[in-house]
Amino acid sequence: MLCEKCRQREANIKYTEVINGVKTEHNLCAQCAREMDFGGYYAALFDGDYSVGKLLSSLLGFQPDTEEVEDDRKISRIACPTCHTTYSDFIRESRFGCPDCYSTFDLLMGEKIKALQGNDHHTGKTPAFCAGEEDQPDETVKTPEEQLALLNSRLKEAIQEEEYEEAAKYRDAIKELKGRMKADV
Amino acid sequence: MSKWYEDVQRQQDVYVFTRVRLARNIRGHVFPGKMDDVQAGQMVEELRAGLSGLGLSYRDLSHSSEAYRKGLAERRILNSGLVKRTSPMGLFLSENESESILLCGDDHIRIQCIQGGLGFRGVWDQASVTDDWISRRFPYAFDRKYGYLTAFPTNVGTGLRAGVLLHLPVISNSKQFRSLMDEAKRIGISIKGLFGDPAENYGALYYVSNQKTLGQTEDELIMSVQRVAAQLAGQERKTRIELMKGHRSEREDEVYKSYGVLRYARKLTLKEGLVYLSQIRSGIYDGVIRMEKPVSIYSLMLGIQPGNLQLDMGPFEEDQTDSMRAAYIRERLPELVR
Repeated sequence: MLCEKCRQREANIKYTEVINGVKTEHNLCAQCAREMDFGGYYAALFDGDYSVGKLLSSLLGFQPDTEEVEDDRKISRIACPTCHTTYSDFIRESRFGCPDCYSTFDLLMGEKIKALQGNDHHTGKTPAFCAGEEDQPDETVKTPEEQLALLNSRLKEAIQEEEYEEAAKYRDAIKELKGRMKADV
Repeated sequence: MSKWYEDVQRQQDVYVFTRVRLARNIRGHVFPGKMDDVQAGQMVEELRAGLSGLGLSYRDLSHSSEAYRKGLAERRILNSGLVKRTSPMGLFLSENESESILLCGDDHIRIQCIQGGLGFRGVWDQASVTDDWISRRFPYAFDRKYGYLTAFPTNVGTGLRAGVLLHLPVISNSKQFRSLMDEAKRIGISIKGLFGDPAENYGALYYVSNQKTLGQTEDELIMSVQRVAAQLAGQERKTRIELMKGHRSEREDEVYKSYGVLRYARKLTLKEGLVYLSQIRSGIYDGVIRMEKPVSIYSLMLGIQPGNLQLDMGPFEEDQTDSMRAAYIRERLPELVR
């Protein structure tokens, strides 16, 4: 399928927009998607036109060539708020910097972890401390970083369950929170 | 007290050891790879104090020699990538070395249990009990979706690596063995040569372990490793019985020659040592030769590795290694029953 905007390049990004409860789907190429800039958060995802193959090869221990590393520099805008590991750090080292990286990079990584592991949901044992805390509300989270991680994971969940209205809500909340975090610095 | 790998009673013809390893991290802290030395030092100290009640002896690895760390890596207690690491790391180790907890390696905590022969139930129960004990004292980084969060996404979920070391001198020579390794990979099981480069694995020891860690329970992961190991072991045993029926005199010749070299050589390379010891090991279990007293050949295979050899016979210069290796084996290889 061709990109609906430039009608020249292959559309490899599907973007679902929800405005006042009306859902519209767009099929775009990476370049047009970046130019349209649906909020800085998504634009950053599209930067560099990264491919699944590249990430997987990196996970499996193959060295990406230096030109590709150059390309990935743009994605480095996405960084974990807790440990400052960037997405390209992750690509290069195939390792995370802290537990929060999982929620920060969930949108980018979820599918790849699934490809790597063949699954994306833990079914094994749970730690003793966790069992008692099962029903505690998540609202106890206090720092903006923790709130952001939480919103990110909810956004991911909403997208997975195709609850686009919900997803839009979380996306806006993330945008607002990021704006506030920037203002605080 | 003797080490678990010296205990020859538990080892079997094909099954050398069973091992489980759990990767765990503490909530609210960056992974060791992102810590500076001060942070890592604080984390190691906090964990050391908190885990001292487990009754294992403690060693500060940042103050131990590289030879000591190399020896640990050869004995599968430390990841070989961490031998040269200088930042703070700690290690709890049981007296027979079957249980260990590494602090601030690749993850905050790595629990490992290992024992001779085949026996997942024992090692898993032991590791899991230790894991539960720790989780009551330190809040683990755990996510309802991804499970236990680890530095490498290849460990996330259960954080479990379950493995068996198999001695496969006969079937590993067959043409089909490589395709078997590829086949296993497709179902999420890795089969890797233990010593030497992947193309040529000296000593015919193969480590069978789970590649995937997420989406299956610990029991399921262990079962899949055990099933593949059992198939390989069954195949090896069957082929060896046939070989002994048709080619007994050739087998005897190979085994006795190997014994002769190990008994009298004045210099031995690592490759020679491993190849001849492997012959002796299968010779003992196939009933070709008998030793005056039982000896763990796997323990000798570990002992002739460069790091452990330095710890046992050293210090010596590098050009003395082959002589030291030959002496090490001569001193420990029992006489034959004639």
